[in-house]
Amino acid sequence: MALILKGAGYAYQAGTSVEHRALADVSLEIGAGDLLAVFGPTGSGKSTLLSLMAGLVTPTEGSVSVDGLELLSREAVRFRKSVGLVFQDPESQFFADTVLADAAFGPRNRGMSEVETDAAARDALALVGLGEEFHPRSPFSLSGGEARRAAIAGVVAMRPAYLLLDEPTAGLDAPGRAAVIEIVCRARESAGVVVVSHDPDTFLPLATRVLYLRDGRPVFSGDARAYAQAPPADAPVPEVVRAQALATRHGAASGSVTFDPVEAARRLAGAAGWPR
Amino acid sequence: MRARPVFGQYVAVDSPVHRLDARAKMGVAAVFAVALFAVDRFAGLLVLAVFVALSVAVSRVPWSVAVRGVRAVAVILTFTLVAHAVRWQPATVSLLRLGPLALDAEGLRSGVFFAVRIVVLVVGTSLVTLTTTPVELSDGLERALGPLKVLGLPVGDLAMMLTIALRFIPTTAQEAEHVILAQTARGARLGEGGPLRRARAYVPVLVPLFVGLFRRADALAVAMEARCYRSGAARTRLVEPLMRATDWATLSLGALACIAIAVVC
Amino acid sequence: MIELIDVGFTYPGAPNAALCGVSLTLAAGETVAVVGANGSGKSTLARLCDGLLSPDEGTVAVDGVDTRDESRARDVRSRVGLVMQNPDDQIVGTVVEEDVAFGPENLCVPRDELRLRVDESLASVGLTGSERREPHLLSQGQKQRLAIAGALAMRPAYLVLDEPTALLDPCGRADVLAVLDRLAVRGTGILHVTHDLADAARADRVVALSRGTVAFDGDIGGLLADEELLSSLGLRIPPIAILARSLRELGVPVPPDAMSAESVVAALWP
Repeated sequence: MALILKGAGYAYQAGTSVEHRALADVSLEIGAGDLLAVFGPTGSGKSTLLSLMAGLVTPTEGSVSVDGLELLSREAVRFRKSVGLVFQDPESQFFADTVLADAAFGPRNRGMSEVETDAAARDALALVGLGEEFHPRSPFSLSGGEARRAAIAGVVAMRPAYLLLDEPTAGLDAPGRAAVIEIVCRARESAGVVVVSHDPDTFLPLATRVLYLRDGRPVFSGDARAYAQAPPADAPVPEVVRAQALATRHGAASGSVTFDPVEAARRLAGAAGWPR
Repeated sequence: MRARPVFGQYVAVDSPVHRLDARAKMGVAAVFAVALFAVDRFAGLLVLAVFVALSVAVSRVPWSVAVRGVRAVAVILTFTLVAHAVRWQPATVSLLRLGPLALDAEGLRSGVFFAVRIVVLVVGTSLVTLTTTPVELSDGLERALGPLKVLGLPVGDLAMMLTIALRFIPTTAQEAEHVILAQTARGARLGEGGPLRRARAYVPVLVPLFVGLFRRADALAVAMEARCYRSGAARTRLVEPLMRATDWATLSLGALACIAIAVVC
Repeated sequence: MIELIDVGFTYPGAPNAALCGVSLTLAAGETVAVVGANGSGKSTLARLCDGLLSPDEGTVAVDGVDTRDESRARDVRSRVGLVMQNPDDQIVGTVVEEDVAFGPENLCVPRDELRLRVDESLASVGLTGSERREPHLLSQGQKQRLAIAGALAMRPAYLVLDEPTALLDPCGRADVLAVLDRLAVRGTGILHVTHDLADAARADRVVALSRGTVAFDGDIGGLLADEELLSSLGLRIPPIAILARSLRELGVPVPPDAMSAESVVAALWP
């Protein structure tokens, strides 16, 4: 059971004189337990990738399939049922009177019965760490971190097999970020997770696979450790990893890279002959 | 990122009409509209129609775009024609009879007159928005209404409101798209079912959009205050286009011509 | 100098004070970073510096003028520029140059000088050439630089920025930080409110707020060395700073504000 892209691509206004290839030739595979980190500058096609994976648009080249079901226009609705997409700034989607009612929107639209919907909404809110005291509150009264979590719960409540998140930690402070990281780790226990982010410090250590896009094309698509070990030029990597890469130019052994700053300090100091 | 044309109308070409000051265009259009309703003979209508046709030609706006507005009033046109031309069991002589309905010659004539007038009005006035950007229009309106400040009308504030509204139309459109996409991803089915169902389906789009707009209004007010904006206070302006000779000439000649036609016909 | 003396402020209807007993100075030409978790009172502090809010207790003075003095409000607001987190909530004009001119227009600056100020401000933020562009076609980073230009057009002596890079991508963030560096060199006093310690490390001084009170006021090195304080403040120490600290413990002379791989490697292999 996997979400598979084979040479997938999408062009806006395809076939016209103003055709714009936002994404081309992306191949990857994710299953439950995987965490795919997607990096790349703004405009590199990351949002288009998420739209493709969520079945919001059909690929103009290649194929996208979820658990063996290919994404063709008519099948799109069924496709969307297994993929949940959390957009950037998801708090801007709140519309219901209570947090619980807003979380129930997704599962109800999926056709679940009222009983199932209520259970799904409650489970999702529990997963994101919002206790029962939050259920009757208005979603508009929540703080930044709480609102982000409630919005993610709205998508998790649909029980998707694959969870896609677009910049889930953007604009959050440290405690807010930590809460989101916890949610992502819990989600991957039973789903395949894709995170688009500008923050390699947070998500590279958690990732199993990495996709690095530039101008709509994949510069790297593969194992996360391989990415950290030998990142392509200008690729987003944590500063700690960059320090180790730079150190190899001074003769430090290029052994396996570590994300732990204390361990990295020990190795680098040793390689440079400190303490002297 | 698609740039949406505001009002779906402004056509970005260069022409003598485009280069005219907004006030001149609006002034001529106003007098033109009044003249159009003062005219009561076909000859007058014809002259004004030719005037519009020439203006469209000079403006280099494609004809297909220029007459697009007529489609919007097609229903009114048909209604006007029928209301005038078709009589119910009249006593007078008719062109055609179909049961109790009769097509009356005199009625047909006046029906056509009124219908043609509507067409000329629509094409003529839409030429203003086709050749003037919304910003030029609102600036022009503000300056034209400037003298009304004497009467105590908050012209400056109204103009500021209009400017801000124009500035945020594309941004709000982008945000609406974002919310629609997000709710669709949560399974919302917009655009399905009868009108009542559709209206209800849009609640999850409209509520977040309005909440966002109110929040933005608050934040914007803070930003404007921080930049020393005061409601009703005098302000200088970076760009203050002046009416040139061509603008005055067009305004006066155009207005005079329309008045002349109205009087003669 | 912007001076806050024993300032207290409570939002109407709020159960707790947003700020309590806060004293702080920003000298001319100085760059001070204000850090703290959400809810620590950072944003309230920013608005007090501009006179948009008046303190319930204590005083806020800008170059000697009390911000509560209504008659001098214009003076204060033109001397202290304010830039906020969301660029879209600050841009009022339909094209770039008109937005930049908005502030000085409100001050009734004569037309020739308006043009001069617009050109200068756009040059300071690297947006020369974009005068007639519509704001919604700019990137987030460009929009934020436009917002800064709009504040600069008032020729402020101080610039207060409330989390200006929070919603930007790395590119936009780098551009904005570069603009702030240039302004600092030119002598503009900068108060940079942020929850990112890497950004704070670029300042001359760091002030940390915790639940409405000042918990630290000094250089970044001192703050980074205090682990307990950092975790109580709800701030995330960038991993590279932890690496730098560990190296220092091993005797490597890494500068206290080191936040980049380059500076760490340079210290290891001098």
